[in-house]
Order: sequence, then structure tokens, then C-alpha cells
Amino acid sequence: MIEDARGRHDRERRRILTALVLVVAIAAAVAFALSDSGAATRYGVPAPGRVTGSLRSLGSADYQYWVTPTLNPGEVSLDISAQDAHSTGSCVGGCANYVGMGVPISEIKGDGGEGPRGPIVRAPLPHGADPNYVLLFPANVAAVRIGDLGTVGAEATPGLPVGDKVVAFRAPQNTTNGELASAPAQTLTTLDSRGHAIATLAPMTVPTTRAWVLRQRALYQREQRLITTHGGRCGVTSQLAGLADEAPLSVTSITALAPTAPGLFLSCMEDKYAYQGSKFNVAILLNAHHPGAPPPGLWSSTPVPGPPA
Amino acid sequence: MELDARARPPGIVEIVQPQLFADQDSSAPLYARRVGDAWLVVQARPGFAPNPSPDVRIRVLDSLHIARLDLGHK
Repeated sequence: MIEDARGRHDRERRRILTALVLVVAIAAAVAFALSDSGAATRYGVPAPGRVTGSLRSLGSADYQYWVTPTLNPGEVSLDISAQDAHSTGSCVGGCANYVGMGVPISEIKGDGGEGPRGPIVRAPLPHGADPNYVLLFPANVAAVRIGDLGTVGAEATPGLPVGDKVVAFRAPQNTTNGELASAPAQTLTTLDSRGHAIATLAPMTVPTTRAWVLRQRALYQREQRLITTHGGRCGVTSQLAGLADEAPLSVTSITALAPTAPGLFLSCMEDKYAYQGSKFNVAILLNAHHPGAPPPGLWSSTPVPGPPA
Repeated sequence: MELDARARPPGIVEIVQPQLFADQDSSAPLYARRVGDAWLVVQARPGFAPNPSPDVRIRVLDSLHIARLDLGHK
């Protein structure tokens, strides 16, 4: 009888102890998840277009841009023209990447230069440098931390590949002159809508090692082998009197873009035509991931008025 | 010779460039039309005068046909 009572008492004590250990473990896990030292650090996410810290906002009226698929044969990339009160610039021929998880940043305008992983944001900038940055990010990015200078809310705006967003801001400037290249390069941290870091992009300068130069040269030569002025996979004709094909250029093979790589359009040819004294580029754009399947719509395009189809 | 807007061929879309580079606007706009499973695109080359009118660009685009599109995997 006494043994039974003792056994019941021990079992009861073990149950209580187990429950206590469980409660403490859960409380510790919750505290770790909420603490800044845990893996799930959360940052503030400003509203789209808003900035924090020493950054200044750059409204959509402060700059203009034009983003179109590049027409260069064999390329899956973008042409970008942009201007603001400080500068104008146009980059045609496949200058920027479509942005995606693997390529999380591209540049519309900025003065910080280019690294192997994308544009470099430098700040504070010397007096006289263009302080405006406009960067392109994929849809899953809600905000971007610019080093410890502040955070910028990403904003969906017209004129971009569907889903992409811009992060636009004015970087702080020093009152003294100096070399732009010596301005500090900032680490960029992309944040999701809950303020968790998606990726951290530490600034990297272009390496100038012999191995890197040889690799770039090999890549360029490979690209050159993939295009031809004689035939190629794609071609167009026209019966328009006076229209002259001056420089045909087409790919020698059509290769689908890897499923994980970002991109919408693959150009398979770009001919240069002359007509009535004017010059034209003529191109065929294919579905980049599935050439031969219906291509996506061209962003920002509107139908030209005409008779019903 | 300019085309009457009503005579413009159907199915052509344009991507209008904002007022960039007021002194050299020869790159805007870009015209395209769907031909099968491809976009056929015409863009005036920037920096080459004379700057063609939209109707001239549309006339060039409408006259073009895809003569060869060899995907190479069929």
C-alpha cells in the first residue's frame, strides 16, 4: 500500500518535472527567435518609396527611365536609358540583367561603378558627384538596407519587367571634393516584407588577376562564336521598296535559358536596316526559357490604334 | 507620305519612351508585333538622322516577315 503510494508520488513528480522542462525550453526558443542575436533578426521596412537614416527620398518625378529588352542576338538582358537633373545616360546592347533570386540587383542609374556581383553603391559621396541611385530588384524584395546609412522601401512602378521594383534614393554627400572611387562602398541587404534579410551583397571590386582576364576573354570569344552575319537561325524578309538590310546578325544556335535564371526574352537576331535615310534595328524576341512557346507580353506596351484585327 | 491612323495595321504595340534626352529623341518609341510565338521588333537607331516618324516605323514593321526561325531541336 505504502509502496503504491510512493510509486504514484514519483510518477506525479516526474510528470511535473517534464512539464516544467518543456515550458522552459519553449520559452527559451521563443526568446531566441525574438532576440536580435538570433538568426531571425528583423529590420524596419519603410513604406514603398520612403527612406530612413541619412538617406534622402527620390520621388518618381525626380528621374525618368526607359527599360526595354535588349535586341542583341543571343542575349537575355535589358537596355536602359535614364536621366535626372544631374545626368543622362543610355546603355544599349544588353547592359543590365533581368533581376531574380540569382541576380538580385541591377542598376538604372548610379555613380558608384560596377562590381562582379552588380552595381556598387558608394556613400557618402564627394561634393559634385551625382548622389542619385535608382536600382532594380525582384518582386520578393520589400526594402533594402544601404550599409548602416538607412533603409529604402522598394516600389513597384510602371515601365519595368512585370513584378520588378525600384529602390531610389539620394545618398549623403560630403562638403569637400574628393575621388569618387575612394568613397566607401556599402553592403546592401535585401529585406522581405517582414524585415528579414533575404541576401547580403558585400561590395566587390572587379578582380584584375590574369585568371579573371582570361576567363572574361574566353566568355567574349564564346559569345562571338554564337552569332553570325551569314544565315543563322533567324531571318526576316521585306518587299518594301527602298528598305535595305545593311548588317544582318543572327545566332548560330538557340539555347533556352536555365529554369532558375531570370529573364523573359531571348533575341535570336538583330538586323540593321536603312529606309528613306533613317536607320532601324529589327529583331526577333523569343520566350527565353521556352523558345518556340508563346512569349510573355512586352511590359509597358500599348496597342497602336488601327482597324479591328 | 504619312499613313492615315485608321489605315495602321492591327496587332502592333508600341512602347513609348518618356521624354528622355529632349535634344536627341530618335530612339523613341519602339514598335512590335506578335508573329507566331515571337515578337518582331523595330527600333529606330538612336543618333541617326532623320528621325523617322511613327508611321514610317510602323510601315517598316508591317512589311517584315519572318523568313527563318530554326529552333534546332525539333
